[in-house]
Amino acid sequence: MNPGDISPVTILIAAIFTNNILLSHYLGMCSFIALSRRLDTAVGMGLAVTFVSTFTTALNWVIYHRVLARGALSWLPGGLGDRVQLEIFALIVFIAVIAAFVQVVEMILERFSPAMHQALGLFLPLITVNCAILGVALFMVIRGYGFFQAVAYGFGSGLGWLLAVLLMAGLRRRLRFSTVPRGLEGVGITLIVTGIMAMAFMAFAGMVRIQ
Amino acid sequence: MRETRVPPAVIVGAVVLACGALLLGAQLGFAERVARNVRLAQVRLLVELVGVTGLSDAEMERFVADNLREEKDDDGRVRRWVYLRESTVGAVLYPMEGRGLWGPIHGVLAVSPELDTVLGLRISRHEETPGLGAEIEAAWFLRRFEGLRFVSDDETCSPLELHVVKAGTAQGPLQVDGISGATETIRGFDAMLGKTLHEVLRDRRAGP
Amino acid sequence: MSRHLATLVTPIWKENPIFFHVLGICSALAVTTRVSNALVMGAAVTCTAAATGVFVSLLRPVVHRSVRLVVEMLVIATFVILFDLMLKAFWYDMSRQLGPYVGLIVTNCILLGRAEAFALKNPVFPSLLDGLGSGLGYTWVLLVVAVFRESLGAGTLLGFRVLPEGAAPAQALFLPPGAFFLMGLLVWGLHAVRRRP
Repeated sequence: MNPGDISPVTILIAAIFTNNILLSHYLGMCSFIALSRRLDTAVGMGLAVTFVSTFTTALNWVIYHRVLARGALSWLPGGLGDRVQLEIFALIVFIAVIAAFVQVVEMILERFSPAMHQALGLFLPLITVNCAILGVALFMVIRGYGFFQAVAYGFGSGLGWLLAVLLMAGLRRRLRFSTVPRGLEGVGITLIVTGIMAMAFMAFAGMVRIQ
Repeated sequence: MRETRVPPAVIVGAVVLACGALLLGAQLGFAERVARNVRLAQVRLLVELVGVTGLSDAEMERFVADNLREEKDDDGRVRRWVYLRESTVGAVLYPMEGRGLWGPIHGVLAVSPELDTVLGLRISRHEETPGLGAEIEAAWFLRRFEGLRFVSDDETCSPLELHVVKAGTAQGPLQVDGISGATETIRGFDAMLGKTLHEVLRDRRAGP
Repeated sequence: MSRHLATLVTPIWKENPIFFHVLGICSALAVTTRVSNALVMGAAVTCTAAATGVFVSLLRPVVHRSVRLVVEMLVIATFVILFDLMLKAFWYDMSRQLGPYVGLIVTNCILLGRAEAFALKNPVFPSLLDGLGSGLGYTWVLLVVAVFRESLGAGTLLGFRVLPEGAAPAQALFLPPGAFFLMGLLVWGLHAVRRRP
């Protein structure tokens, strides 16, 4: 891939602020709306999402570029690699990797930190269908990131999502003492506040520079 | 659910195989159509750039095959297309490859046969922000480049000076206004344009 | 017969997946910049939801409790990929415009949600109707948002100019904040309408 010139650090910062997976790309809304009701669930989920996003992006990058992409299998002997085309399975493999990873994390947590496992409860399986994580993998492929760029992107996107959900949880806490029109309670006001947050984040636009 | 005694792993395995076979088959079946669509997208771009309109897809493919001479470099990649109109060169088209803020930017640049004036350019792919950076593909932006001469009057091949600058600050014939709010995209676009124009000037120096 | 009609129609209005179940908002907002995109995306979700409903329902007798999620995801992913492939083959430009969002239908909670809640417990034909209904319910919401975003944000509708040439488009609607606002207002409007009767 030609475009290796953007530093992973730039990508990381951009993924948190200017290219936020939720506020700029609308991904990860479902769990965002559901979990921003309370601060503790927001933090827990956000951290879990960051963890999963970082590692699955790395895994998916390796699998995609060494197994699935066009010509990726050229390291196989006998020219077999050139005749086999596995790119069509990319989506399935990505989601399978994410699901498997979440399963592993759940098992590890159960074994080593039952308290945390209890606290996160049903939220862990929800990470699997969090469109943000799959979205990160898909964008990584489209934008042709190299390995370190991809990892930075996965980590940054997770942090960006965490930041958004954290901010929203804090805001919703204060909203409890405001008068919200009846039709807007819950989903409605969350969406409007998200819009305002998205606008605020757009102000970061000048922050990122590429050399 | 669960009324069968077949072990679950076997069921999953069977479903995986069935889905896998279906997808591989579909990919194989549609591969040619998809490849043709990719090719057509580029063909359409080239035809549009040389100013020809009203052709059907098949006619466009034939037009490109007949009238655009591909020149490849040592790696087998297309270096440029020479458009021949009644055995004289009508334009020379150079592929552009660069990087914007969020992903690659690809396009094609059309220059005059004397390799000194921009005839036009088109963007074939980008990942930029809709409404901001994505406007680099919009006609109103690309029109700004048409007719720009990037070689100085005394016929020396000047170091490249055609630049895209901050919106509203363009001075002189060699600066083009960028897009407000898309600074980084424009920076990448400018670099891409510069790289391509270098290629053009190199060809110009090398002689006809 | 009217029971089948109810199965088809309920997810369109009364139990709309987006507003009632709060599912599937993710991909909804991203593609609403153009009505054409929204329509195709809606079609994608409708087709895959219907197909998923049919096949998950068909597989009921052989799917064990423990592996039902895996099977559901496999079925969903297969149909999503197929739709994406057909799009690349027959409408390449649209495929480029929609980008990764067609693929993201895999994680669209609507599909998994309906498979779990309905297709796993119901025969094939009702499952098909439920899938269709859910997809259509999703589609009209997208359409409403898209109509606003395209006409006010870009001045066009399905590519046809609707705002006079010189009118400055409301760029804010075109960018993410606009989408969130519109969606929130739509929720408000729908709540008001529903409470009226």
